[in-house]
Amino acid sequence: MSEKFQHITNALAELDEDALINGIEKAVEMQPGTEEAQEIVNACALGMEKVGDYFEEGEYFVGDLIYAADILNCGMEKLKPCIGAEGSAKIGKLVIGSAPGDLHDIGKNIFISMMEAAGFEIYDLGVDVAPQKFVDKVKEVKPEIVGISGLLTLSLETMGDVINALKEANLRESVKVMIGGNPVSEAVKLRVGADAHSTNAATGVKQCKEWVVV
Amino acid sequence: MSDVQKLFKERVDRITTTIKIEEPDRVPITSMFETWAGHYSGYSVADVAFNYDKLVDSFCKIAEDFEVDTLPPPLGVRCGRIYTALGSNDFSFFNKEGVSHASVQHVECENIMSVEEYPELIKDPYKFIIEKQLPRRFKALDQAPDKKAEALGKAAFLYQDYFANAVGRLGGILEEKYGVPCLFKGSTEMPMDALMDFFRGFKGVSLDIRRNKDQVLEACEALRPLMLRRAVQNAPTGPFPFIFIPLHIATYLKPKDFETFYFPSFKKLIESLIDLDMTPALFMEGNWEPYYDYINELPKKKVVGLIEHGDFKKAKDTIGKTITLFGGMPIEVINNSTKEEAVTYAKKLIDDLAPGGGYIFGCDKSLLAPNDINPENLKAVFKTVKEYGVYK
Repeated sequence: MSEKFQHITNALAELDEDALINGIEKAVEMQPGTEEAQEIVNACALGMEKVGDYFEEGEYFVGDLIYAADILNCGMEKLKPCIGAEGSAKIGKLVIGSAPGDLHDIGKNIFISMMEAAGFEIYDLGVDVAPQKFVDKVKEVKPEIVGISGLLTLSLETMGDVINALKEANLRESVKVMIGGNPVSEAVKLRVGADAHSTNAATGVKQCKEWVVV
Repeated sequence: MSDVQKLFKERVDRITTTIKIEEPDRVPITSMFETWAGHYSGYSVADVAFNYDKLVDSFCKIAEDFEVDTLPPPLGVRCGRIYTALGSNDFSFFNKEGVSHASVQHVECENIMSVEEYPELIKDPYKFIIEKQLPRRFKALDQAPDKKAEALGKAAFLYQDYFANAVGRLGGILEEKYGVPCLFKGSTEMPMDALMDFFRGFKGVSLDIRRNKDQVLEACEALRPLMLRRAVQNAPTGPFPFIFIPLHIATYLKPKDFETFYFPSFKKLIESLIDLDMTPALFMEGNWEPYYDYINELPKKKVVGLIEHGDFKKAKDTIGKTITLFGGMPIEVINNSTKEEAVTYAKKLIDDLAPGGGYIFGCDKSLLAPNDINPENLKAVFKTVKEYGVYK
């Protein structure tokens, strides 16, 4: 990793919107090649990783994660022309949706923003997603990871329905399943048969990265 | 004085004493019974949200079976008739197949108000709510003026009917038949929570405190008088002047942002309520430990706080002389351990929180969905509190 874009990493980590946008604009003015543009993307991913660390250390709160994701999006918009038609390199695929019966999605959307920043390709199925919809999407795009999000205690049961549907379709072995949201716990993870659980986006992203990085 | 009247008076005394942070005869008991009350009687959410007889029945059954010292009014169930008549875009009672949800669901409407509209809201919040915000939240109010007036009239009628035939009737029966006083007299929200919940959404406000700082502060100030009016306009329904205030965005803000944005209007609204002899009952969702210093700046012995997460012994030691603590019994413990384990946990809570008064026993979370609480374990825990929670 070159230190050429260290200032971009730092700007994002410190949530300095002006410095981040300035840094990216300046870099874009230099008309970077696809490879160099990818380095800028990587610098941003590193910045986001630091944001996640600050969150885990209790220095940043959820509102800060949302802001970080938003300024990163603004930055990526500026960078788009420099990244080739195939887009920046992806480290893995995630199929995600809110559990059947659950209409909530604020937490899911924060997680998605951070997963995007970490380099994942996201297939968001929305809220109240039927088990079959998860199955169909997994067949179609063959992701490494399936995410099931929920806020209601009801979702703790329907998350199990999704996992069972994946089993019945013989897809369970081909994916890692992450359940996320305020009510999930180790006990719930074991009960529904997920591979991991997370009550916050930052640790969830960390786990997903471990899964795909060999 | 009849036995029921005596029981009622005992319970009222128990609670009014403890909120002065003095020791009553024993630790008072309640919990935030909401749509779970219906499930306990075999009713769906739609049953209790639309049928007032079922609503009244199910809450009476709670009073009878759980022998609590007080019950919240059933406002957490919400009135299905009003939301349906107005065509609510955010609260829903049924899934897409028309089957009742297991708990009332609230879908966040992002950007009900755009960021460009802050000046309009700040200038005249009431006008903005009537003309812009309500029509965006309710389909029936997003129509030509005559239709809109008709819908508003209908909703006003339903509202009165709901308070008379559901909330008021239930309050009367609970008092006269079961000797159970109603816990809250009214409810409101903190200005910044209202800004998030009904105008800008979670993401919107999270970004606004970075990019539109002054406007966030001005909007909170503009909404504050309306939030005060919302608290005091409700008809008295019980002997305690408790105003229920759920706190939403606070624990998602780092303490520095909390101090800058949330705290000024929070503190002023609490002081205004206390000046009017009301008792703010704060639903402190999430973990409030990082904000205890701010809680200690509130007027002493005038506020109740329902606590959900954190080290409760620390809560007692740090903020227990300022506010009455309420709750703390994890529903996870009640549901995932044996009766004996749950009872042991409850005793520990009493050891930590009850000394000196200023504690109301209850679950850490509102009871909503069918499996939210194991009723037999909960009864055992309440029984223990009645014996073990006696002040000597």
